Amino acid sequence: MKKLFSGAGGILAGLLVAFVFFGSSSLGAEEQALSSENKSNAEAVYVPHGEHDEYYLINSGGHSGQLFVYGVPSMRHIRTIPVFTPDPATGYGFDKESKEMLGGYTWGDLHHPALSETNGDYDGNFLFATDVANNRVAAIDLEDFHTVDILEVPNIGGPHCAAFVTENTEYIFLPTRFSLPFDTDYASLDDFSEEFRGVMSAVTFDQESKEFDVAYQVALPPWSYDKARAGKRDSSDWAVISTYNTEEATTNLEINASQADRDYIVLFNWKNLEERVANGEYEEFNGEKMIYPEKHKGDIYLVPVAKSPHGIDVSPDGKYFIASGKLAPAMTVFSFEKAFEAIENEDFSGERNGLPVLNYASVMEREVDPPGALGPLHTQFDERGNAYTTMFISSEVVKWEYETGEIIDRHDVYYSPGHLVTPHGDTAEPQGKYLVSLNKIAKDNFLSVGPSHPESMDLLDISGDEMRHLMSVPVNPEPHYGQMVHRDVINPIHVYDMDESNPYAVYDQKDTRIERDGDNVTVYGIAMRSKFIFDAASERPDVIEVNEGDTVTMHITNTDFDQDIVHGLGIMDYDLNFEQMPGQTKTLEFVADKAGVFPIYCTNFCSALHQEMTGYLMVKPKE
Amino acid sequence: MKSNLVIFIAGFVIALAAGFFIFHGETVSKEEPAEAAPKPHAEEAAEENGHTDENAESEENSENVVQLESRVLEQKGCVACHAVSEIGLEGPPTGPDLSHVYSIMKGKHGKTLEEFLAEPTSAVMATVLGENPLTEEEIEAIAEVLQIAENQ
Repeated sequence: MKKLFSGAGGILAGLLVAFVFFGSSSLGAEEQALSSENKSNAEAVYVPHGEHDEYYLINSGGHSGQLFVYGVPSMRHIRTIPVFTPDPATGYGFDKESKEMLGGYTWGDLHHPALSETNGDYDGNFLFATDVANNRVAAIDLEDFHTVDILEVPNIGGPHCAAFVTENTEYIFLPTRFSLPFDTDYASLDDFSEEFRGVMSAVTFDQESKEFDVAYQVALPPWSYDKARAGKRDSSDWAVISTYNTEEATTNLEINASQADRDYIVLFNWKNLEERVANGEYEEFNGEKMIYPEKHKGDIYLVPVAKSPHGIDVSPDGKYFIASGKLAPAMTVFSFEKAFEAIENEDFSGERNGLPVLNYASVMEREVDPPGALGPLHTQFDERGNAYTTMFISSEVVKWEYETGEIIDRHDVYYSPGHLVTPHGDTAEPQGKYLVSLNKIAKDNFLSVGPSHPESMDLLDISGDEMRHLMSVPVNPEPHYGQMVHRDVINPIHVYDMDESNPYAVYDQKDTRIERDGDNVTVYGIAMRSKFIFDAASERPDVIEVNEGDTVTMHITNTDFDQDIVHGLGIMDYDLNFEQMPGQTKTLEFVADKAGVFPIYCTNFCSALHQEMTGYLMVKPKE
Repeated sequence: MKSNLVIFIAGFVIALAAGFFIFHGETVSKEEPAEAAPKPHAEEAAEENGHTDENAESEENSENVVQLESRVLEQKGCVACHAVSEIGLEGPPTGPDLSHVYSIMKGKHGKTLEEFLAEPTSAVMATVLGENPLTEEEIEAIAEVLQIAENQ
């Protein structure tokens, strides 16, 4: 008996000690499930050293005028690309070429980036973006991730809608958010409906010469053109634009533009319009070819849609266009085929501002109204027939089948999403692996930085039946939209090639020189690690001597043809700085209006003796 | 008494061990998937090596020639900072890739490669070679292999 007691006592004591020491680290079942879920989420976003993210996520930078490049799934911010605004760190807007391209603007509202497409899928050539604030459109060359052309588009008031590209990047369309007076520069808002027009511009981009051109414009009714998409596959000759303020209100739009039960989607055949313009069916307006739909009838139609719609998206198969209600809680799926039939049969319910209105019931395929979901905004797709729509007010993403309207899944996002993006999500070939929700409100997601919070992105895994939240990430305001593209599609260069035809480039030390012509001084120099050579023959090759009042032009070539060996050149107290990438030649132009001795130094860490890479600008005072 | 104590201790140890596995068993089994994940990477790498072996065969002859010359770069420690990718020498990006430098040395540094190696114009190279200057034969050997690399 005593042995039994000893044994039982030992076991009990052992269990007690085991519970005390090992049990305390074993949490309750629920907590344990959570911590293992956290572990597997962490693994899903971890990209170890030596490996790369799978996707690029290129976000609009909103009012910074920049683009933000992230990697997915790690959600690491890799690079900021300056587009519409100067960037002192790289000298974008300081060197001669980019300064001219920026045209003096220091503010830009970069809204909806759009990647160039071939056969309906991303081709990795260029990225386009519009500046809503100053009516510009920019092209970023994805060979070197730099802005190559900016065009100021005339006659327009805020290209919010844009940019969106047709299946083979034939056009980039820029419909406008604000209507402006047409025939005169100034008109009273009392005459809004008669004098003001919205404008849609059809812009082309020559990928060889890397230049924009405005092909034609359409003078639309004075409504706000909100979002737009080009058709795909069988609908690729067409495009759709959502509108609001068809009430044509001129003040307090929050109330006055939300009165009518229905607004319109503009459905137009850009292929036919292109042909008609070629046949002379347009009027000259301010140097551009302008189509007036009420005079040049056809190819532009209106489809009624529920009150103040916001997003409009085309399914990957090109069969449907889906409008998100914003104020109305539903998504409306319209069929392109039915719309084409209605046009054939002239199945119109009326006319508005000279444009025929198609019969709603004849074009509408179904209305999808997920219970409790409020404020649908934008839709993206996967390759399995699913649509994903953001709900601003109920702060969630709803996954639904667009062929049947069946709701598959819902997931909260943190908080109040605007746009969302899936890999290749607005092409004919989406890759349904991840979803990034671009949220407007961060609340207490991150460490507090005062009253103004960053914006917030949520990364979700959508590869399974249920959506799985992986991570919340802060982002500078405001990534309205982004483009997610597979890394294999993008092939950037690392080094610029030698360009013997460039008269400003010098690759050989003995060709460096400083030339004087009156009071113009031109420097043909080299930046290499770790020295500047402005004039190899001079006693001090890294010194420039000029007279006060001279116009100085510096052509600097980076002769280190090696990956990531970038040099910069900053001139102290002259507020000038610009970088030269490996193999690149850049020009800086300024007037030496201050006399004195001004140190020059390399402003991009280049080598072990980067600190020693310096020179002087000597400005001799006027007698 | 002693046997009772032994039984007590035995019971205690068994129960302790049992308790350990009961409470930690789940975490042990959950760690396995993480270990399984790296395996596909290793398989991928092995596949890639298989492919490059095919290409390597055709280049074997020229590579044998280069291997002899390039030994000087390994012996003198150049590859500790320089890659010469055109002849298959991997190296860190501390200094530039030497594959295409031979003919541009005069223009870039104001000296031929041979002159540069005898008396470098960059602070880093002057420091590296200052303690251990190269012999004339070594300089000649380096010049030869870099010319081969450039002509690849």
